[in-house]
Amino acid sequence: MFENLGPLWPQICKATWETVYMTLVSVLFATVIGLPMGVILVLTDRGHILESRLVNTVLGWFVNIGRSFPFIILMVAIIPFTRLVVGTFIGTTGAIPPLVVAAAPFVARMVETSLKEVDWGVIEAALSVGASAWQVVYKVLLPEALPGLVLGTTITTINVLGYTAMAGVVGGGGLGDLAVRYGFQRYMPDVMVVTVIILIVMVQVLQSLGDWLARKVNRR
Amino acid sequence: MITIENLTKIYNTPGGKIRAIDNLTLHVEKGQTFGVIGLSGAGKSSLVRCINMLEKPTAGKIFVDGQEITALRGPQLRAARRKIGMIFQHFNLLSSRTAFGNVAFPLEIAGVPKEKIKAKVTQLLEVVGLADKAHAYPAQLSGGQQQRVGIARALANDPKVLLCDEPTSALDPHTTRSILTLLKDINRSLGLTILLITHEMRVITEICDMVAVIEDGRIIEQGPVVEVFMHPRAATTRNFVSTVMNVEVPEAVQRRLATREDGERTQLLRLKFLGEAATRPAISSVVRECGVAINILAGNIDCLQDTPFGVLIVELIGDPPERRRALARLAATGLSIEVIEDV
Ligand SMILES: Nc1ncnc2c1ncn2[C@@H]1O[C@H](COP(=O)(O)OP(=O)(O)OP(=O)(O)O)[C@@H](O)[C@H]1O
Ligand SMILES: [Mg+2]
Repeated sequence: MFENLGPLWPQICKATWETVYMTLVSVLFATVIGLPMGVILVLTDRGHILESRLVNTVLGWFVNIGRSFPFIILMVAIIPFTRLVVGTFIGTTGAIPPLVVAAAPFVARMVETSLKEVDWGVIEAALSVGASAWQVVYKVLLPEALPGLVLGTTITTINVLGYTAMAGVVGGGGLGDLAVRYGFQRYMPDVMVVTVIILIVMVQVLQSLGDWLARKVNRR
Repeated sequence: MITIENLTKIYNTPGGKIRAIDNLTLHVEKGQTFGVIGLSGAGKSSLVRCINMLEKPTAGKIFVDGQEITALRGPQLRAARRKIGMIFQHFNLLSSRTAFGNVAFPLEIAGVPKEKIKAKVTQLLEVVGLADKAHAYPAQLSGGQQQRVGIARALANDPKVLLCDEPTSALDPHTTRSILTLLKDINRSLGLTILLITHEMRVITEICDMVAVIEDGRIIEQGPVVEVFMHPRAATTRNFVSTVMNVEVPEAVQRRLATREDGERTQLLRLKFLGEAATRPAISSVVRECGVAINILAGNIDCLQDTPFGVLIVELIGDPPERRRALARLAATGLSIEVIEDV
């Protein structure tokens, strides 16, 4: 029953690497973009230290629009943008911009939720000793919310991992693409089974790693 | 050290405007421990939070150490805040930092170099008696220990003023006492001016020199604690005083007095004595010299910091002329006397 695995093994390895690569690079860039957006969403909220109705509303809308696009449509819709940024819209690299664009708003909301969990009293204590907005962010909000941020990043990573399966549409490769092309279109159930098992293992490892790390940084 | 002029704070809420502080004026001298007492919602927190601009006043001016805090913005305000320490009811420590890290926090904010931070934090933790807990996280500390860390943090930048928003309301009576003692020690040794707000009279009598009673955002009574304690005027003040000095006629005594027949010959008195008078055997000498009998029915003796303070409810027995003489004698010894009419 596993007769296809032998000859296809190099492809499976390559696809696994492509999935890992797409996921990690996308999460990295999504965090670089989404984290500041989340922080700004919190700081400009009503009653917060940099309250701004305008910034909060505009950014909120922007994030919501990003989140409401189905990934498969988003991927096609931003092809010109993808081309502009990475020079191509196909291949593993071409899959990364749409993944980042899809994940960044998710990261922004995740960061927003985590930071809002921080007790307002602690922020006031920091303000009362003369902390600036920037000091409040990097000395209070981010360290205090770290366990939540770790768990949120874990969820983001697992979500992006799921999205990469669709990246096959733009020739991005990866495990999902392999499963569709060989497992489904050429009817090789063993390839299908193996890719699914690899994905399950990845998700399990990510979640355990996230849980462990969140526990480690939690001082409550 | 702290001067508040015509302070008004109005909150705009969906339900309408709430006038939390209403044209309030207050002055706190350097080195004083000034207590503000009031019921829930009186505006106590709003008041202290305006002093370091955690809450922006709607109108009025606040001066701390001669500087008009209410006129400051941005970096100037942040610099001024470093000289105004604050401790909170729920401690508000950073859970991600150890006791050491929490005390170091204000110093990091102020840009103090690392070696200096270490020396300063070590010294402060010693002052609050937590040298051995430097590496414990807040979750591993008791409430009292957390408040000690909060106090050390508030003192880190050598402030001139310490604001305390119900610092002991989350603590048990024993821990409350130890925290108050610590605050008093700091007040004396550093000459720090303390403004403390509370809803417990016990806290006021324990450490404050001056007290102001706040109601509906206004100060209804203020003065030296001893003075306000001896002669409370407003009803709210009387209630607060009675929470630490319950001087009502016990019910059993009331029943006995209601059913007795020689009511004509007795009078119920409430005697208050302070300091010297408490130590003088006033009552026994009056009994000896005036031919009356005095029956002590209820009483309470306490200390206003170092001054003994007491209230006695006594029954004065004798004929009217002797009783009058006895009353005059008692008054002459410095006791405050109140005749209780209806028993
Ligand atoms: N941020 C706020 N927004 C709207 N109303 C507020 C706010 N803070 C306080 N108030 C209102 O202002 C009034 C005074 O509140 P404040 O917290 O100063 O009272 P307090 O004396 O500290 O009471 P407590 O003993 O319960 O802490 C109350 O009616 C309260 O509901
Ligand atoms: Mg309050």
